[in-house]
Amino acid sequence: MTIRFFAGLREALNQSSLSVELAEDATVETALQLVAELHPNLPLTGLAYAINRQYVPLDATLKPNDELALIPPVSGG
Amino acid sequence: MQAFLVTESVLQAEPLRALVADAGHGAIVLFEGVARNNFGGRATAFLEYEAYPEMAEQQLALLGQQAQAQFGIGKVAIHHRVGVLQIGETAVLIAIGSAHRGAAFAAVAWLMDQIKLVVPIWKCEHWADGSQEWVGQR
Repeated sequence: MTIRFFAGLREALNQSSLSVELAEDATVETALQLVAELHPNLPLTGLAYAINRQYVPLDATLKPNDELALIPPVSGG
Repeated sequence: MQAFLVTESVLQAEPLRALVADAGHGAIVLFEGVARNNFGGRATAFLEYEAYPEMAEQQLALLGQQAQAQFGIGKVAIHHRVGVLQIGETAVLIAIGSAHRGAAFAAVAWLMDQIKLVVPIWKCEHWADGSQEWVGQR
């Protein structure tokens, strides 16, 4: 599955997405833990989460082809 | 012209006005959010916006539907610009058609508040001193 990064998070990672493989019953929280292990210096607090462009809670389940987006505090308008 | 759009192009009010116009309506409200030369008093050189464009357009459309249900207004169109914006350029444009003005004024205020809460778009302040900062308002 794909994890997308935006704004300050994208800059901190120096790339806009990661492809990762997760276990079948993985949740958003599992994915976050993996990102934190791979990139310990990323600021992963205060985020919202979207799977396939819909906001979801931290315990939402991920499927292999899902697109997970880590959404820092928004500031449009 | 899409009613709900995230674009790198300069925003134009007239096509949005045409999208929401209706012969049975007595009001069209157009709101422009404009790049300002300071944030909390600190001088800004220019702004940069980034979006998760596919999701942002979906969220804008959802907010448009919610505003129609909540305020009883007619058509809604919202365009948001991304990329580099100079001071004075329009960042967001909202057009609302409505039978009466009161509902449209209330809806546009509500829509701007919601955009700043849930639409995945981010603003980077490029300060006059050369540094930069992503602004978060949640």
